Order: sequence, then C-alpha cells, then structure tokens
Amino acid sequence: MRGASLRLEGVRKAFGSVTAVDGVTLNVERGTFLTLLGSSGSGKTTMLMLLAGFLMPDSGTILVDGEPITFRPPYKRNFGVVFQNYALFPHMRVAANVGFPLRMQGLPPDTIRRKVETALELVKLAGHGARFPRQLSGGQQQRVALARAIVADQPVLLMDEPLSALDKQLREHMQLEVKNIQRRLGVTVVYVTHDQTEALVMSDRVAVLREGRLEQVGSPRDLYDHPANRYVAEFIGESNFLDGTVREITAGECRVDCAGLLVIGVCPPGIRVGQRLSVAVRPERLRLQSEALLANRVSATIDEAIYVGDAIKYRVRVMNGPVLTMKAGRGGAGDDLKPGQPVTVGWTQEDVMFVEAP
Amino acid sequence: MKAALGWPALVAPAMLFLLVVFVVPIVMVLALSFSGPQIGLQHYARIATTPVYVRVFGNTLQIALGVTLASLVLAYPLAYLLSTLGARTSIILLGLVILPWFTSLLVRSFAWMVLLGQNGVINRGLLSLGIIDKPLPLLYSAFGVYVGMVHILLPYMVLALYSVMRGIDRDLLRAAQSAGAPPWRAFLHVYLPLSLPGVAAGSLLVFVMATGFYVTPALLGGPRQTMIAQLITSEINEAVNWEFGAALATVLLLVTLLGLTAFNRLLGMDRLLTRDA
Amino acid sequence: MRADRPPPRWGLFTLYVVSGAVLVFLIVPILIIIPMSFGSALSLEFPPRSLSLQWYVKYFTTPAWLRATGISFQVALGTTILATALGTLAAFGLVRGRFVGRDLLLALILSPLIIPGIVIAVAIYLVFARVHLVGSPLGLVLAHTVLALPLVVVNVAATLKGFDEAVERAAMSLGAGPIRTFRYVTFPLIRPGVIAGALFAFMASFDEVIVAIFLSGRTATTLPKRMWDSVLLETDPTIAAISTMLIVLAMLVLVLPTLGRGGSRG
Repeated sequence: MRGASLRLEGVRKAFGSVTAVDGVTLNVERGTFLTLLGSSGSGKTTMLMLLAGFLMPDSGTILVDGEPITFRPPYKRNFGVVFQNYALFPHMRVAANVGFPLRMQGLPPDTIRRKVETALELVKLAGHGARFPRQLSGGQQQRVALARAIVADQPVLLMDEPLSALDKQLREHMQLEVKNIQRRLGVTVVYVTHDQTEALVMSDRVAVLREGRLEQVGSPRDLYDHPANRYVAEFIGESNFLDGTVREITAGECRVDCAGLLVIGVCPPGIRVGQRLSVAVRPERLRLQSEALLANRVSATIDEAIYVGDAIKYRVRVMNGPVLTMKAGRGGAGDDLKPGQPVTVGWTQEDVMFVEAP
Repeated sequence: MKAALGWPALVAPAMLFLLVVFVVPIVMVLALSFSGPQIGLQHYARIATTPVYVRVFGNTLQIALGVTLASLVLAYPLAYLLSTLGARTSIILLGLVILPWFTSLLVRSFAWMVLLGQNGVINRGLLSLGIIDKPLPLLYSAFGVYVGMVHILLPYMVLALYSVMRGIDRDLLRAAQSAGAPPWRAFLHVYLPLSLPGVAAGSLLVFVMATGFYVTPALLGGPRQTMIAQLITSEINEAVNWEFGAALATVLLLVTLLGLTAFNRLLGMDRLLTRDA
Repeated sequence: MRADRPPPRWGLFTLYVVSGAVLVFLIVPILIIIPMSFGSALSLEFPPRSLSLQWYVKYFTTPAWLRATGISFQVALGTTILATALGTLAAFGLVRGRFVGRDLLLALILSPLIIPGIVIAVAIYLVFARVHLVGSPLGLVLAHTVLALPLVVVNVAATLKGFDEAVERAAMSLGAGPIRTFRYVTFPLIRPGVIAGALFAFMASFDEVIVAIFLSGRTATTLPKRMWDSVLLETDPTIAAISTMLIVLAMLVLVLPTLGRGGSRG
C-alpha cells in the first residue's frame, strides 16, 4: 500500500504566550483518512503545518512509518500539500504546476509527462495541461492542486481546508471525489476543516481539537453517537441539552432529574447517584409517541415549525418544561404538525447521551 | 449622465497649464535643435562625429547601466526582507528607506563629498586604522559617482521591488518546498520569476533617471565621468550655444524614450517567459 | 536513521546582515552630517573635537542665506498651492472620468517624473528667457509646478481609487447636494491623499536644484541654488548646518502625517 503511517508524540507548539498545540499525541494508520476538526484557534492548521515541516515543534516528536522527521525540512518529506487558496504557480501552465515535484526529483521529461497525464486524468482534468491557472475556475484550480500533491506518489496528503472557497454543491461533489481518490491510491490523508459535516462525510477517523488539545478521536459514528464530553457533543451535530442530577441507578438504568423532568437512559460506567451532569438527545431521535414505545415521554405543544426541505424541525415546548428541538423526516407521522398542536414526544433510553455539566 | 461630461473638464486646467509651461517649451527645444541658424541636422552631425560627445554619451549610458545593476543587487535583498516582515516593523524600515529619498539631492551629494574626500571621514578612518598609508582617491572618480548615484536611486528600486514582492503569495514558496524544492530552487523557479515585473519596473525607472543626472556627477565625478546633463548645461550657460545645447537635450530625451520602450518590451516579454512542462 | 535536529538558519542570517548593511549605507551618510555641523573647527571633521553653533550663527546672520531661504519658501508655497489645486482636480477627472485620450493625458502629467530634469529645465529656460520670466519667483513657481503636479496627482488618485463612491451616493440620497457632498463626505476622505501630495510638492520645490540653477537670477535665488554655488567653490561648513536643518525638515514632513490620522503614504 502506498500510504505511510503518521504519529505525533507529545507535540507542543507555542507562539509567544499562545499555545497553539498543547502536548498532542495522535496516530494515523497508513491509508486512512483523518480529519482534524475544530474552530479557528483550535490549533488544527498549526498541526498540519508541523506535519508538513513548515513549523517546528517546541517539544515532541513526529514520526513517519516509525522514523522521526520532526525537524526534517518540507522539501525532504515528500508529502503532498493542498493549500486553502491552492497556491498554484501563476507563471506556470497547469502541466508545469503538476509536474513540478517530479522536476524537483530530477525525473526524465518523458516520465514527467506520463505521470502528469495520469494525475490529470485522475482528477478529471485531462487535456487542460496547457492552460494557465488564472484561466481555470476555482474548482478546477483545486483539482490541479490535488493533482500536484499526488503526482509524485507521495505517501501522505495534507489538506488545509481545501474546499472552503467552493460553493455548497461543488463542495459536496468534491468531498466525494477527494475521498474516492484517496481510496483508489491508498494514500494517508490528514485533512483540516471546521465543517463538521465535511468531517463526518469524508473521514475514517475524526480528531476534534479545542485550544490545542485533543478532545476526542474516533470514527464519525463514535463521535456522533458517543461524544466524550459536552464540547464534542455541542460541536458535532445538534443536541438538546438538559442539566440535572442523577436520582437513581437500577440495573444499568439511570434516572436523571432535570428540573422536574425525569430522563431515563442507559448508564455509562462511573456514574454515581447525586452526580450533576447533562443529558443530550439528538433532535432526530425525538419522535411522536404514536410511532413507538418510548421510555422517555413528555406532553408538549408545537411552538414553531421550520421547513428545511428534507426534514421539518419543530420547536417543541414541554409542559412545565424546556423547549426542545425535534427533527422529523419527510413522509412520516411528523410531517404536518401545526403550531399550538398538543403532542406527546419521546425518545428511547439508548438515545440518551451523558456528558459533563457545563 | 451629466457627470460623464464633467470629468474631462476637471483635467482641463492642469492640461492647459502643462501645455503652455511644459509641452510648448519641449517642442521648442526640438525645433531649436534643428536650427542655428540654418535649418538642418548640423548639430546632430556634430554630436555623432565628435569623439568627445560620443564618449560622453557612451559614458552616461555605461554609468546609468552600472548604477542600475548595483541598485538592483543591493535593493533586492532589502526589499525581500521588507516584504516578509509584519506591518509594524516594515513601516519603520520603510521609513528608513524613504527618509534619504525625502532628503535633498544636494544634501546627499554634499554628504558624500564630505565622506569620500582625501581628508574625508572614510579616508581618515582607514588611515588611522592603518589599513592604508595614503588616502584613496574616492572623490572625483567613477567610484564617487557610482556611490553617490546609487545612494540616491536605491530607494526607488527598493520601493518598486517591494510593491511587487508584497503581492507574492507566501504559500507559493511553501507549495514549492513541499513539492521538493530546497529554498534556493524555490527562489529560482517561483519567487524570482514572480518578482521580475518589479525588477523590470525598478530598473527602468532607475536607468532612465540615471541618464539625466546632473548634480551628483558634477560634484562627485572627475572629468572622465562627465555625463550628458553637464554637457548640456555648459553649452547653454557658458558657451551660450542654445541650438547645440537643445540638440544635446533632444538626444538625451530620445535616449530616455528608447530606454522606456526597451524596458517595456522586457516587461511584455516577461509575461511570455512562462515555464512549460 | 538521519539525525533529527533543528537545522542552522544560515540563509536568514545572511539576509539580515546584507539588508542591514544596505540600510546603514542609506542612512549613515545623512546622519553623519548632523554632528559635523556642530563642529568648532574651521573645516568639517568627524567626529568633531568640540561642539559649537558657529555655522548655525553664520547662517542666521548672513543676509544672502536668509534671503535665499525666504525665496525658497515663497516659491515652494506657491508651487504647493498651484500644484495641489490643479492636481486634485485633474486626479478626479482622470480617476472618475472615462474619455478618449485619458491614458495619454495621464502619461503626459506623469512624464516629468521620468523625463530628465535637465531637459525640462533647459526647455523651460529657453522659453522663459524670451518672456523675461528668468530670475523671478513666478517663473520658478510655474516651473516647479510642472515637476510637482505628478506627485499630487499620484497621491490623490491613490486615495480616490480606494474610494467607494457608494458613500457619495448615500450622502446624496440623504439630501446633500454636490457641493455639500464634496465638503462633508468626499474631501475628508481624500484629505490624506491631498495632504500627502501637498507635502511632496512642497519638498520637491524646496529641494529642487536643476531648474533653480537655470531660472534663478540676481533677485530670486533659491536656497538650493545658493548652496550649489557655495559647494562648487569651497566646502563651506555652513552647508553642513543648512543640510542638517533640511534633514530635520524632511524628517518632520515624513513623520507628521503618520502621527496624525490617515497614516503614511500609501
């Protein structure tokens, strides 16, 4: 397989008084797609720059296939890098741009031509070699940047929010294309984005970063269904949060008193009676009582209906309680609820996520 | 729209002024160069055939070229450094570059007279340190003229280079490095080509200005460094040979325009000098 | 396994050293004049053995120097006013207008920046000599305005180019006529450019040598012309004192706009 494994060990990088990366240890298996997800200032771009070799850590080690490369300059790492603004050489044609890494390696012109053609075909830009970057659209430039980053059989591909300048439809299309290319080549990808949907769609594993620290690493499913803490639960997807105290624990079942509302969930290990915490339920997990037998049921009124095309989001006001968000897919029982309408909504025990109190 | 008719009118006062005080005099110089008293090319013939004048023109071009090259070599690293620094530091350093520019030409040339003279600061310093035992003839020599002119023209070159370098995306150098180019190759293949418009503009400006210099070569140069402007002045003020002086001035003007066109071609050629796979 | 250590940064070090050397080359000659002007010896020396104000006293007590300074100020002021007025109007017409020959007009206005000063000086001299404008402050003002005009136009045009005309439209929609819009909206926004241009024009005229050499006469000699005559004859240390004052003036002109709102030249 082409891809290399990556490992960061206790990597720390500070700029003056700001610690951008704070002692991060992270593994990326060969041939996998890892996304560094976080808001601005989370340190994700700094980590990518450290991996690329444009920055050097204050402490810690970076290893590729077990070999330390912490201080190796970028031109000796053979990593493909795709920048946010593509960074295509404006004075060179597309073919020259893509062939640049091969030229630096001193390969003969015929080989360069062949490999460039192959790379351009892979990104579906065959025949565009003679054009200049300024003659291409944003999406096409992006693909040239990608071609340049894989043409030299680079074992690792680093991508810094490459799709953020594209419009929604093009971006979603490119997400799948990038993912496809990664799978075909078997290259290891470290991808930086602040868009959690993008992270969930493209990645084998996602690392959520916050102020230079790793909050959670796992598959998209792990992160979505079992967020490790409140930050991850808030960052990924939407949730209804209820703060409360644990009243009772029986046979793996937790009863949490949330300001009078009793929530029953499956107890994670280490929970004690009397502990203050928050429970979270995803909006799509809220269902009408009529649909199933739900352990958690409340009487409520529809406050507001928001149409989002493939679903309808409802603001549901619980009687003597909080306002929850419910997301009902189209074509089901929740398709046509009106404001003011009384309903009984609920969710199962398994739908309840436990996170720390704010 | 009424405004569309109004805009040219705003330029009219300046236009009329320049017409009377600038264009007409220049045209009259051209006209004068062909007279004196008969209409003809006799002055130009004299310029072309008299070795003294040919030598002075050649001298001027040579000095201008040399000064341009020297300015380029000195300005490039400074401009590059300026373009990499943050806003606050670069403003201070830019100020240091612009300050000499704001200082009078005469003051700067005078300062070099003081520094380069036989009894000047540099010679006295070198003598006292024992590096030389006789003062060096720095003043009234080619060295003096070059140093003085480079000192005056350097800020132009720095600013021309800097304004282009500022627009070069830093990520391009990083992209080149991640693609396997060590710093010297990233510079050669990416940075240098992208800085060429600034090089062309700065060189053009400095060269053209250098050809017309008067004060500096007059104060810092010896007889072998006489430039055209000095010749023109002596013809007009001392020999009172206005027609001949006008001819010399016209030739200088022609050389200026030629230099402009030549460098313009270079600028245009730059766009075509792109790298193919 | 290759060593995994931070590499030494030779390139950056050389860059700093070379750039620093160039900056020293630019600044030191100018600064050296300043201490030398306070020397007590009869000729210039560095470093001065002891300090004295003799050369400054000489300047302030020589009528010729003071007269020349006065003429230079007069001429520079006149040039500034004329060039700023003509240039600001022209900048508006050139930036906002779209008419045939606009680029040609712009080239014409900017040409004094490139055309050798000697050519302009000679041309104007040859014409002014016939209309008795040689040796008069008016002649100098006219000639200097030709040289200063492009400086004003460049500065004002730069501010105008970054100007969003939507602001003017907003003012007009709120009831301000063209004159009030200009006074309360447009002018305050372009003022930094106009001021920068005016300062450039002033300094250009005040320091100007070549045209002054040709157009000065017995009654109207500018400071640079008198300095030029003096420098050619002997190395009069008074020149060092005058130079110092000019350097300080240049520093003030450079720093003042930056201190005020609006920032330095674009």
